[in-house]
Amino acid sequence: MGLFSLFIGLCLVNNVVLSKFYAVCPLLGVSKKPKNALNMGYAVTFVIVLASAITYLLYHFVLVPLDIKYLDLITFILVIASLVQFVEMFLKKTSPEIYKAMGVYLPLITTNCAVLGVALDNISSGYNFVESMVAAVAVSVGFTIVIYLYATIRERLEISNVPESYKGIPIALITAGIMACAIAGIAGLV
Amino acid sequence: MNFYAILWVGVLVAVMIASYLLNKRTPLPEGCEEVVCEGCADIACSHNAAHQKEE
Repeated sequence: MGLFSLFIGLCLVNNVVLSKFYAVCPLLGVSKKPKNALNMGYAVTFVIVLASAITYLLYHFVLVPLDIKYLDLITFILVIASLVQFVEMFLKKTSPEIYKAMGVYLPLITTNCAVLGVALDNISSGYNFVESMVAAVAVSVGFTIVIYLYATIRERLEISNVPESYKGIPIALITAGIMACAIAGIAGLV
Repeated sequence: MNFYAILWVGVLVAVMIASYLLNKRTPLPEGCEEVVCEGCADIACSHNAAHQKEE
């Protein structure tokens, strides 16, 4: 039950995008088409889960024994950036189809603060390895749901009768605000 | 303690540079050459389509 609550809590109630405002850049930038949004969601899921596992192990088996815990931020930034490079290189060589499907979204994840945020939150919340993995999957699923829903709404807004001064980014930001209010309504669920 | 900290950051930076160079030297699979980002209009980003046209 604890892991289930953790999953629902991080996926819906404390959604990183709409409650903590992480990853707003890809939310606005890669949400013009639902297909692109889904591809971004898959790529983010893959990198967040992998990065969470590696950063957890590095923190507990390198930083803590060497008593250099204060280097967690710079360690996680460099590890995530290196990880994305390695994953991209690996996919180029072994799975061109997956590389083509992820396209440019994979390198863009280097600048996605949700990846770093999850890694840091896992450590500061004192999660064990299993909880960290559940948290990583929950955050990724939450991100994918939100970016996909947002992309479908923006697609409909393109053909809606929006006042001239609200077209484009203004109506997109208002939509994100209303979605954040809606997601806050689930707060009593867990 | 400071020695370990400097060593650790050095190792991480070295890994980062090595991974970047290795990735840069790895040839793209066939059919992926035209992949560019059209997500936003930030031309400061190296993935923006404007940079691809320049090359």
